[in-house]
Amino acid sequence: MRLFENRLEADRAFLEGIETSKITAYCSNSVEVMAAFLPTRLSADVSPDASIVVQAFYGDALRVFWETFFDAEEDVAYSTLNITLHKKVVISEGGQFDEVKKRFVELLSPLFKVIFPYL
Amino acid sequence: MAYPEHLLPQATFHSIAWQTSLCDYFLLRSTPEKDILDPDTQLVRDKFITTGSREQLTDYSTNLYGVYRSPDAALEWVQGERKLYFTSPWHEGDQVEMPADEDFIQREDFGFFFYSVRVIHNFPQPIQIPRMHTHTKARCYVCHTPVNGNFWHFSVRWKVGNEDIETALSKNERRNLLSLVKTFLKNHAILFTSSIPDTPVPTAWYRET
Repeated sequence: MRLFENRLEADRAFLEGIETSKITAYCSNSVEVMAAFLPTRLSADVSPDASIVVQAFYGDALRVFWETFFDAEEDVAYSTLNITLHKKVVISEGGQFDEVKKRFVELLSPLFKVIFPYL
Repeated sequence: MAYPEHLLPQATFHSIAWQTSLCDYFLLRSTPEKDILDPDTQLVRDKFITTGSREQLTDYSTNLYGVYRSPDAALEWVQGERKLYFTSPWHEGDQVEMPADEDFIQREDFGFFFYSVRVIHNFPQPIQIPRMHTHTKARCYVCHTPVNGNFWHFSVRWKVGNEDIETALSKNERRNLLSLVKTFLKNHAILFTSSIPDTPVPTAWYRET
């Protein structure tokens, strides 16, 4: 989270008008859920489109990109979830943050069975 | 420094039509900084995939690598009316003006990454847009879109069915689809020039005979 906070500070203009506490709360929520599945790589970054992207890699093939958008007119943040297998997007969905969080958990277990059949 | 003439369209040029031989080539995307990699993921950071609004993803600006080379990525137009002229579409037969010294700058800090045309063109990407049941695939395509200041400008665009993706999608549908496009572009970006062949572009592709 420290690296994310540094990135947010460096590019604060991307998320102008959005409270820092709100941004970091959504980010840490995504990071915690993704970290629970023990990724081999995990990263959080800001994007110029008033969004944050949390990325987790599980082994070499399975990559998850969870993007959350901030809009002053929206009470609850909107998220998109893109999951790639060998660089091809196999899951691409969007919804309110909590819906996406739920979908991430639902989707990852079956994908783990495909990628790591010995587990 | 004079503007590199090899970038300018000439009245004897014609647009490069799509041909399968283009699959042997690479597209270069320039960035305003050299340090573009996320050390944790080894992917290009989001802020360098697009440097502004995600709407850039619907018509993604790149350059055909060959005559256009890495040092050309340092060039940046100075804001103003002249920039508008040099970044406007070039039409066959048009004689373009030579950019003056004050029309562009040469950045000291700049970067770039590549896409393989073979990998991304016609990439069959499954999609799900509930309102558009009939379309289950988005298709990435590469096309030549020369501008007055750069003949080697190419675009990476997407079609859903027969239409480009800027057709009426709701705000969240666009977020979904463009997040997918960004994910695709992040995953397929090539960062290391050692893997990019130095193949010249055949003049017959673009010069009148």
